[in-house]
Amino acid sequence: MKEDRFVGLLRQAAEEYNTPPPTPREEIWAGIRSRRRPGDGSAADQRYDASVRRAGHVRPWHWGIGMAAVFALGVGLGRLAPVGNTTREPQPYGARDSQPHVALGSQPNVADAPDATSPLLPYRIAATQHLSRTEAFLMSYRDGVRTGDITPELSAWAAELLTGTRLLLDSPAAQDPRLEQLLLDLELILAQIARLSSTGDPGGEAAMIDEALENRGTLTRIRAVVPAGPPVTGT
Amino acid sequence: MSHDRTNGIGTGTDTEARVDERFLIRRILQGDEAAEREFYDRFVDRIYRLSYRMTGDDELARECTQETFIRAFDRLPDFRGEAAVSTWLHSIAVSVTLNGLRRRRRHHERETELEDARHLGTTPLDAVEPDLKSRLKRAIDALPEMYRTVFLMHDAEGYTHEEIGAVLNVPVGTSKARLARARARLREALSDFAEEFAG
Repeated sequence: MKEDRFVGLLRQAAEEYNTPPPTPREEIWAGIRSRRRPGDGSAADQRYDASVRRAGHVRPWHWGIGMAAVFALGVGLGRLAPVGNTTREPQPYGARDSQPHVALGSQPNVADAPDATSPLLPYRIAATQHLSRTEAFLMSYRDGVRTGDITPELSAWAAELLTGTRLLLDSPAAQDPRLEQLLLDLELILAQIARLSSTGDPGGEAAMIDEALENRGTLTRIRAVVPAGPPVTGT
Repeated sequence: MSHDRTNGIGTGTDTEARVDERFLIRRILQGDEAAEREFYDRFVDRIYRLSYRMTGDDELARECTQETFIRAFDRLPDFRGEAAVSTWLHSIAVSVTLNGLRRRRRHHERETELEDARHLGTTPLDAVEPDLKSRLKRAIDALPEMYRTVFLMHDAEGYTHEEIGAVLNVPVGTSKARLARARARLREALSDFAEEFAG
């Protein structure tokens, strides 16, 4: 029996064996939907469920640690300023007047500060600081990718920022959906970069992450939240 | 080959796609319904095709595909990303489909025992189907599960040995060995047709 001819016959037989019909996509999807969400399954319900799941695993003492850490993030760096001393010039923002209490992460930036008595204020400042640092990090990372110089220090920096990102995610700062989404995306990116030092980037993952950053407009989204100009400084 | 062989499941080399998949997963975990559908649309054809190849039964293939996605959505919070999500999903699909086949086989065996035990293995294969292709089909049916799975994934659906190894969680060499054994068994089953291949 000639091997080539036999293998050819097998391949042909395999192709003709149980030849699949077109996928009944909608029928299968309907079955999945009905099994997973016997009720309505609306997007609002899912968001509610997600928020319940999220709230369910955040214990009160986590809040304490989280709040302390978020404050440490800003204060520890000596860059957290009292609201009254903030030197940042607010960005031109047409909708600002109509939205005096823009939530964190809403367009265009967190410089649209609420009144000084808002309980969210410390978190908003900390988030701004954190995002500024993350932006700086991502710029360094991209430079590193281009020069082929992804150092262990860079990964360690990513790990540090990852911790801050997670703390912010568990803080009231993440009540704003846009900021939450940005932080979640950053969490993923930072986690991947932090892992690079251990893997040594054999598959060129660093460049791929950089490309994904570009494609998802991550830096642009950060800049939409963090206003241009000098950082909020301590006095 | 009727399907696009370039639409592979990936084994981790396409990092950009993996990053993109992780964003998609993240959205699903946040309860984004559109992301669930996007995930489903991205993979359902491959999963259904594979399941149908393995079962040859539309109803069972639908059931297995549905179960695969339900399990995947339920387990997504535990997905660690060590493998590409498509590999992970295919692993679930193969497991679900093999279980479905075993369940159906047990069910058929019970029915056969009750109704008519005389048909069980009493007629030699070659006496039933003189036609080569029919014989071949029956021989594929008769392959041991793991040989048959590798044979169908490789020769029917065009998965690479790397992809098969990742899905079945076996070394690439094992996938190759299983395919070789599957082919050897099929050759044995068709030995009386040997002269047809000689020309």
